[in-house]
Order: sequence, then C-alpha cells, then structure tokens
Amino acid sequence: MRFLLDIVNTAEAGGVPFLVNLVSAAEEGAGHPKGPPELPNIVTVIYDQFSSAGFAQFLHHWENVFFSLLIALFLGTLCHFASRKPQLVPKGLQNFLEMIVEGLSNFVCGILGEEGKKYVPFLGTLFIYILCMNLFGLVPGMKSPSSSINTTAALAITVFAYVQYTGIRKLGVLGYLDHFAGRPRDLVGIMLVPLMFPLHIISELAKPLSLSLRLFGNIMGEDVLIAVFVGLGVSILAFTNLPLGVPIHFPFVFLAMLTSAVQALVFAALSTIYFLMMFPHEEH
Amino acid sequence: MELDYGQIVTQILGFILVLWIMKRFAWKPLLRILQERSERVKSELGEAEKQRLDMQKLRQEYEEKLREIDAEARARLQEAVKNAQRIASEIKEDARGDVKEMLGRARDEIERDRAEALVQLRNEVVDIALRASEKVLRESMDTARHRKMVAEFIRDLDSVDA
Amino acid sequence: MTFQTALGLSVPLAVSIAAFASALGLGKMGAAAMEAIGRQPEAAPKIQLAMIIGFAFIEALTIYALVTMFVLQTKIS
Repeated sequence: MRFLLDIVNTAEAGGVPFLVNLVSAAEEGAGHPKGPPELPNIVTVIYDQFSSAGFAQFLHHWENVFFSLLIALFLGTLCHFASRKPQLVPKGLQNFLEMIVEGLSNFVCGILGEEGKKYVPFLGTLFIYILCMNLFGLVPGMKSPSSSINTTAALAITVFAYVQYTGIRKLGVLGYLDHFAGRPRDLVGIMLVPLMFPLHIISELAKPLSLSLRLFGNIMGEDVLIAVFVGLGVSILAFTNLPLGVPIHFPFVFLAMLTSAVQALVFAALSTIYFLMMFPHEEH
Repeated sequence: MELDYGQIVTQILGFILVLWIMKRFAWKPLLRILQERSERVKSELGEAEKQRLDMQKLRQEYEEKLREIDAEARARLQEAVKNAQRIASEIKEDARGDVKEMLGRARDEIERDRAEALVQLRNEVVDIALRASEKVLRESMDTARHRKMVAEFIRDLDSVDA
Repeated sequence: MTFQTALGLSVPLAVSIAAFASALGLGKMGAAAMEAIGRQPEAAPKIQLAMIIGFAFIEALTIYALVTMFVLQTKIS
C-alpha cells in the first residue's frame, strides 16, 4: 500500500507530464465555477474557511493524496483490527475480510493458474484500494481520489512497470525482446519484425493509458452525475433560502456503487490479464 | 470562492437514505452469507478433526490387527516347527521299527535256510552212508553167494514157469 | 460562429455518438453472453468475467469521448 502511495505521490508531483497536462485542463475547472460540477468535501470546506492559512492551501493542493492517505489509513486500521486476534473459526470482521481475500485469491489464480499466487497480494491490494477509492466519493465530505487522473495514472503506471519487470524476469531479456518482435520463427516472421516491434511497443504503452483513462472517466463521470443531481435537488428548495435539498440523487448512488465495483474489478482483471500475457507460452 | 453548504446537507441526506436502504435490503443477505461461511469453515474444521480421529482410530486398529497377525504367524510357525519335529521323530521311530522288522525277517529266513540246509545235509549224509554201505555190502558179497543167489533166482524162475 | 459555439455543438454530439455506438456494441455483447450463459449455465462465472472485461473495453471508448468532453468543456466558456 505504501508502495502505491509513493507512486501516487510521484505522479502527483508531476511524474506524468502528458497526462497531467491533459487533465490539468480538466482539473483547473474543478475549483472554478466553469469546470464540471464537483461536490464539496472536507478539504474544500477547510480551504473555504481558512483560505489564507498555509495548511489549508497545502491540503487543497494535495487534496487527492490526502484522501488516498486517508483511505490507506482506513484500510490499514481495518486490516489491523481484523487480523489482531485471528481465530480458527472466523467471526465478524475477520470472516468478512477472509471472504474477500479468498475470493480475490480464487479470482487471480483462476486466470493466472497456480503461479498466480505470487501476484495475489499486489492485484488484491489494487482491487481493494481502487474499490475503496471509488466508494469514498459517495460518502459525504469525502472525495474519490480516483476521480483525478493523477491517481489512476499512478496506479496504471505501477501496473505497467510491474508487468514489464515480470516480463523481463520471466522471459529473460532476449525472450522479452523476442516477445516484442512478435516471436519471429520463420522468414515471414522475421520480415514482419520492423512492423511488429513498434506495434507491440505502442500496444504496451496504450495499456496504462487506457487503464487510467477508463477508471478516471468512469469515476469522474459518476461523481459529476451525482454532483449535478445534488445541485438539482438543492435548486428545488432554493426558494426556502436554507442550506437544504431534496436527495434526488440517491438512485445514482446505487448506480455509482455498481460502477465502482465493476471498475475496480475491471482494473484488477485487466492487470491480471496483462500479467498473463507476459507469461511464457508455448503457443502464441 | 464560496461553497454551497446545501449540497453537503443534501448529500448527507441522500447518504442516510442509501444507508437505510442498504441496511434494509442488503444487510441481512450479507450477514447470512457471512454466517454460512463461518458455519462452513466450522463444519469443515470439525470434519477435518473427525477425519483425523477416524484416521487415528483406523491406524490403531490396523496396528493392533497387524500385531495380532504377527503373533498368530509366530504361533503358527512354532506349531509348524513342533509338528515337523514330531513328524521327524515319528519317521525316525517308524524307520527304526521297519529296520527291526526287516532284521527279524532276515534272521528268520536265514534260520529257515539253515534248517533246510541241515535237512539237505542229513539227507545227503544218509545217501552217502547208504551208498557207502552198499559199496561195503557189494564188497562183502562173494562169488559163492552170487551163485547161490543166481541159482535161487533161476529156481524161482522155474517155479514161475511152472 | 466562434469556436466556442462549434465546441458547444459538437462536444455533446461526439459523446452521444460514442455512447450510441458503444451501446450497440454492449447490447450485442450482452446478448451473446446471455445466450452463452443460457446454453451453459455452469460456465456462468467465466462468461460473466469475460463479458465484464469486454464491456470495459467497449465502454472505454465512450469514456474517452467523455474525457475529451471534460477537457474541452473548460474551453467553451
């Protein structure tokens, strides 16, 4: 988890110029009235109250990292309390977490086979972390860190790096290059190498891009949807001049819960499949 | 910049509504699933424990049986050895008896042979004695006696003719 | 016509076209997956997983359009 957060930090600090540029345009609008509507969270409240104070500005700048850390803290505490006194017959929290871990282990090993056991901690953490990040946006006063492309890009780059590392470890440097050259075995294959090589590189690079954009877009979309409907609910009761609204957005919360789970699952499943593609095969 | 606190309040209201709905409809199935899992684990553990005990019992039984079989085999072996010894001594006894019998028979035969031989010897001795006495008789019979005898014979012949 | 007007007209249109096309794709995929599950109910978990991953791939295209919309939205006003 800390590993992921480190990556998040580096990405936030400008590790991904292209993606950051791409979305800084979108993010710029977030705070200003002209961007996509966004619900207020505790950081924006603090910033609203103490906009001149240093810590408020710091928090506002590192908003997504703050929430990521909060989620990491939450998960760590949860796991600590669940595994503090492990019992043979699980009860309560331990039972719940054991069920999740068992399910994730079965899921990863179902795709990768027996040797997938090694990747269960990474992929399982990815799933749980992303799920929590997605669902955090539904809690009042909180924000989904994954509705910022910096977070999702960091996760996707982590997966990308780990997948490439696994490829080099599993196939060897030559096998890795061979994999990129499309495994030429005959004359036609060798002649196709100049075509296959850039193609493979582009497809490898497209993986983290599509991973991060998919997650970001979905969560951002769902948050914006909820924000729009909350705004509508507030405007219904605008004539009372009270800070009140009709919660007409609640059906979309269920939709968002579904999307959150599905997107976390998709992110984990696609990462698993990228790992699978790097494993040595007999036939390709 | 100013925040619309109404949005936060609305969101809280919606969240409470969602929580209520979740508790109403999703909490019980979740608890049931967890309960089922807990029970399954417990029953599996119990099953494993039971199987372990069964295994132990079975092994004990097997070991006991094996020990029994071992003892029985040893007893049988001893019995067989005893039997063999008995049979060997019987055979020896038999053989001794047979030899004795054969010896007796042989002695009888020899006895009989000797008796026969004695009888034959006696006969032969008698024969020889007869022949010797005949010879002696023939030696002692002189011409006169011969003549007399011939004459007698002729006389007899005459009487027959008559 | 300023470029803002052009964007304001074309960006929602782009998203809607993308949504339309990927809805067609999703519908086809869902139909095929349901048919497969109906034919082989015991393979349902595997088919569902493949279906969800396929959904993700198709849906990603709409999401790209949506992201583009978010990016361009700041330029409209």
